[in-house]
Amino acid sequence: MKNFNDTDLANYLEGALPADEIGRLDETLKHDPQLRKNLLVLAGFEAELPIALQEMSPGELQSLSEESPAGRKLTPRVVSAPHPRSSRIMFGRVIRYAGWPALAAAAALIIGIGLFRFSGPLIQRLTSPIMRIALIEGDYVRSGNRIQTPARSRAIVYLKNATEIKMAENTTLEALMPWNNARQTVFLAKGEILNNTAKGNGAFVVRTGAGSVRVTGTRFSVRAESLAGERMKGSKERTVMTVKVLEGQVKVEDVAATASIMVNCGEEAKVVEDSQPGKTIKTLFYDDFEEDEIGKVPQRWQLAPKLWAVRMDGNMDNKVLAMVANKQIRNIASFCLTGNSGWSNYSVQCRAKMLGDEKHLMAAVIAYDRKDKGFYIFSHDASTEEIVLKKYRAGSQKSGGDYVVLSCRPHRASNGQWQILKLGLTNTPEGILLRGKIWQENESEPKEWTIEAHDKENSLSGGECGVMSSMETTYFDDFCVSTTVSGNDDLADSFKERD
Amino acid sequence: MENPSKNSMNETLLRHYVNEDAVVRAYVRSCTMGHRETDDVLQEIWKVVCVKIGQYDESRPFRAWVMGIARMQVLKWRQTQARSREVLSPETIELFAETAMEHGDELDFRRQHLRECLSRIPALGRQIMRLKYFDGLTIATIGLQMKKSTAAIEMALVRFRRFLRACIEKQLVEERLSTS
Repeated sequence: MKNFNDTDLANYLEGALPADEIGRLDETLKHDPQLRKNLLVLAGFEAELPIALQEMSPGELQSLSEESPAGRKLTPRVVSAPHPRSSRIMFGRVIRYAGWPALAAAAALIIGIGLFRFSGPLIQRLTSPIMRIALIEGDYVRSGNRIQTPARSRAIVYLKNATEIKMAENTTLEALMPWNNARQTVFLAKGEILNNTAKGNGAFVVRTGAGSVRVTGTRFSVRAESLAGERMKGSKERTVMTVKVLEGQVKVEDVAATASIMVNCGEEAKVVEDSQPGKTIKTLFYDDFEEDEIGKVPQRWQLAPKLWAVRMDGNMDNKVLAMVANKQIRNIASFCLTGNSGWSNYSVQCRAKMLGDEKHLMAAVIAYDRKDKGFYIFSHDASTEEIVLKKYRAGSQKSGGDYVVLSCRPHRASNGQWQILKLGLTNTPEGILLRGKIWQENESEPKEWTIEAHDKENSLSGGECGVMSSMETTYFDDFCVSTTVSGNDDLADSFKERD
Repeated sequence: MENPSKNSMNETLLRHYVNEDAVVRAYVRSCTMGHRETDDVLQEIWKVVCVKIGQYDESRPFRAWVMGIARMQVLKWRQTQARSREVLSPETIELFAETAMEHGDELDFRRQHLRECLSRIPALGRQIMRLKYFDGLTIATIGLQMKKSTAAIEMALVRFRRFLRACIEKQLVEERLSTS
């Protein structure tokens, strides 16, 4: 019986071993467990090698391509498929975004680079080196593919490490890393993604033309876009990356990974291509109530006794600040406060979930609280299906105070769902500019403010902040107060034109 | 609203499959040789795993379960090649599944060490390997691009692959020594 060496096994795997030799190899393999192991090890090596090469960072790939006499440059935007002959896609799973009925036909487009051979019913045979195919819910994408969402279309991509990527409309995303690796990496060419990564499932990296974001177990959004105005000047169009952290902490780096900053929950950082990352929004206060005791009032808050307490959110392993329903005293609101009376020019953001009777439900964030003067409120009122910006004016002990509605808009949301309320306040010479927005937890933050008002009375110019609820069960979580960072003039200048 | 039980099932699936991917990949590659169907078979396995994950009993080893599916899919592919002489027999394919299950952990270790070793090979080696495995060029095309003979490229690939394998073996030995 012939002794098969590594060269024979390599030839077999390459498909270069003659048929009669394969017959002999087959017979030998039946009786030789060591040869079977050797072949498995070699096959594993051959199978992993393209993936490992592909996992090299774009920087490494760039340096390799620069060495190439052929002069072909690889940029992160042009990643070849590792198996040009292979069919179909194996990076993660794309599903249709459930809340968008217009997406019945196609949720996203995927572009594969290389000569693919497709056999699925929805995929045409093409000979062009670049092809587009419409994806439907449940389709798989593989490393090297590019996923595009057109206008008025969104998609959710599930990676194998349980990371969930929600793609906004007009977004282009490339799967740089294969789905089987612990460190999943995607390249965001343009648009915006909202990422939800699970703890304990390895790192997740988002790269853009301006820099990268590295995380393990958090929720954050990344937007990549061209820096407006530069094209007009005829210079190189630079990419700008905006990172907003909704939970946990992420590390933001420039493209060369020479400078990095840690960005915490509630904060926002921006990186302009060829520049260092900088924070544009800084957190003044953040509380997720995880350090507090169940059933007790949270430590850093001033509360109405017995009405507010830390609770668990159902069966979820998550502590929240809860207003406990009190059926006796309906139609009365209660609030709790935190922060500093000297705070001004800030935004308040928190997650809120209303669980009680829809006729009486109201959840709100409050700001600029001065006990003797009043405060501002941004509320979602489920009974009237409205969001309202209003001001409470404190009165004397005898007369009490009154509410002034500054602005009001219709808004409907299902009870029992987490939604995010955000109120921004800016002191201007003409008075206080109030802006509010509200969105579902599973959606990206809207770019524009939903509701706006200008209070010219100038009676409130700063103060404490907090949450407010009617006497129905309402949960609050991830309360965050942040302010715009000043002094970063270079960065501010960069955005002046765009904003 | 997404079904939470479906979500947790997906998470179970993802967690397990990531761990066993190396062994499944090596097994399929061993049995399907240089055939282009390797990726198709892997894809079919993943699809069946997704569909059948609800039937998986968590008290039993995931590797055995997923390898059962892999074996069936490879044998199914083997049936389509029944007339070909250039494939392994069903008996050998079954034996390979057993060997893969036995050495699954080692295959996973090797996969991890490969990444580290790859960074140690010279720039020329990485360049040739990139053109071959990443860009998918033939050895002849690489030779033309690099103005070298086909034999020289072939030899370089053999040499660098050998270097990588030796590096991985060394890492495995060091790991064994450090844990013993």
